Amino acid sequence: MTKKNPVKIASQEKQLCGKEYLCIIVGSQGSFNPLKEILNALPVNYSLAVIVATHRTPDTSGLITELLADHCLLPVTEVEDKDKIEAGHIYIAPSNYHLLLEKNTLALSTDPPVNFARPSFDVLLQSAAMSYGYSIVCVILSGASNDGAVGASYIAESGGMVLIQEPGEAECPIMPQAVFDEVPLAKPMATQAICKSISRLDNNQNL
Amino acid sequence: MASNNTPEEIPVSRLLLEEIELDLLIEGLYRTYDYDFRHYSRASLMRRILAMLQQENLDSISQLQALALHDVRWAKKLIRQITVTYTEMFRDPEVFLLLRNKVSPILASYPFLRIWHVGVATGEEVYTMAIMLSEIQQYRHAIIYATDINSESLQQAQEGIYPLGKIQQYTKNYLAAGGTEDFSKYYVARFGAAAFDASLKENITFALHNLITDSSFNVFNLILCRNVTIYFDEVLTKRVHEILYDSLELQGILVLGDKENLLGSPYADRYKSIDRNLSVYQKIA
Repeated sequence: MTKKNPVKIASQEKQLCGKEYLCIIVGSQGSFNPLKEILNALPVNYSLAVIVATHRTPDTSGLITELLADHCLLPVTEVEDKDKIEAGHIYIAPSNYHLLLEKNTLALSTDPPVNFARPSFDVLLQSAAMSYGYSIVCVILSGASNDGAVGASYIAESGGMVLIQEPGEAECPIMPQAVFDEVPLAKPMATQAICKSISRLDNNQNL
Repeated sequence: MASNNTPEEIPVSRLLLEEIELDLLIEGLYRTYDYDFRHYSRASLMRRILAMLQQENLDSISQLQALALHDVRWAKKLIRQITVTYTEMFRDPEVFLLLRNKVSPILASYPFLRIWHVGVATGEEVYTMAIMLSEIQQYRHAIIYATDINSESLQQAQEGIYPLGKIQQYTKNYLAAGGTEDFSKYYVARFGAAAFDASLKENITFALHNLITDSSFNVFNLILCRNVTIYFDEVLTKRVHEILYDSLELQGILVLGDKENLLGSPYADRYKSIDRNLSVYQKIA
C-alpha cells in the first residue's frame, strides 16, 4: 500500500468538488429557534448557498418555509427536484422526501425512511460529502435522535467542517452530542457563535 | 504527461475512485446487458450502489462490477437494486382529493377513460386510483395501464398484497383524500399482510415499460408520472416528457410528483396548471 499524499488528494478533490463553500444546517426537535436565529443573521449579500433540513410531519410541509422566510434577508424556498444551487439562496428540504446533492443541483428521493427519518440527515450529509467534499460547512442543531452523526463523519472525512450546537445550550442535546461522539473534530458552539462564523464565510474571498 | 510518478506513487482520493468506479460500472452494464443508467441521477445511483456493497459485504464498486459482468445473476440483482422505487397508498392525499373533486368531472365526459401509471413501482398508486374511481362510479369505464421497468416490482404490483403494518397510515391517507367508505372493505388481512380485492385490478393491465428505450404506446386521458424523473438527470427527464406529451390526448391531465415541475419538459408551454403546488397540469396544445 502506498503512502497517501494529502496535498495531491486535496487537489484531486478540488477538481472533483469545486471550491465554493456550501452551508448545510440540520436540526430536529428544539431546533426552530436557533435555526431562525442563524438564518436571520445572514447578510443580504451572502455568497453561500444554504441548505436546511428538519424533521417534521408531512402535513406541516410548507409552513416552516414561510416561518423561516419571515425576517430573513435572503430568499427562502422549499426545494423542488432539480433546483439549481445558487449563491445567497436558502433551500428548505420538503418533508416526506430524502434530499441529496448532485453537482450544482438538488435531488429528491422517495426511498424508504432511514432510521424512521425522511429527510434523513445521514443521507443528505453523505451525498453532500460525495458531491462537495471539503467545501461543506455543516451545522447540527438540537434534536432527539442520532440522525446526522454518520453523515457528519463523512463530511469530516472528506475535509469539510462540522459545527454543532453546544449540547448544554440545545433544547435536545442528544443529536449534537451524538455527532460529537462520532466526530471528535466537531466544534461545539453557542448559537450566537455559530451565527458569527457562518455569516463570516465568503466565497468571494480566496479560501 | 509531465509527471514522473510511477503508479505506486500516485495517491488517489477515495471520493475520486468511487466516481471513476461508478462510471466504469455503468458503462459495463450498458455494454454488456444493454441497460443504460448513464442518465440516472448520480447521487441516488451512488447511494444505491453503496447500500448494495454494504448488504452484500463487498469492499468496492469494482468488486461488484466484476461479479455483475461475469455472472448474470449478480447483474439481475444489481439492476433490480438500481431500478426499484418506493411509494405508498394515497401518498400526498391532497393530490387524490383534487383528482376526485376537480379533475374527475373533466374526465366524466369520456366514454372510456384511459389512464397510465408510469413507473408504478409496487402498485400502491394504481390501487389508490382504482379505489377512488370506484367510489365516484368511474371505474367501470376505465382502462388502466400500470408500467414499470422492474419486473419484480411489477410482480408485486400485480399481487396487490402489502404489509399490514402500513395499513394504518394508508387509512389515514385515504380519509384525507376524501374517501367515503370504510377502508377495510378493500382488503382482507391475513398472515400479517393486507391482500387487496381482486375486483380492483379487473381493469388494470400491468406491463413492463422502459422509459430509456421504449416510446409512447397509446394515448391517454390521464397520466400519473409521480416521482419518476427525480431519479433521472436532465437528459432522460426531457425524454420522459416527450413520451408523456406524445401519450396525452388534447385536454388530457398530467400528474407529476408534488415537488416536480415542467421545467425539464420541452413542451412546458403547451400545458396549463390545474394546481401548480400539486403539479397537476392539462395539455392544451
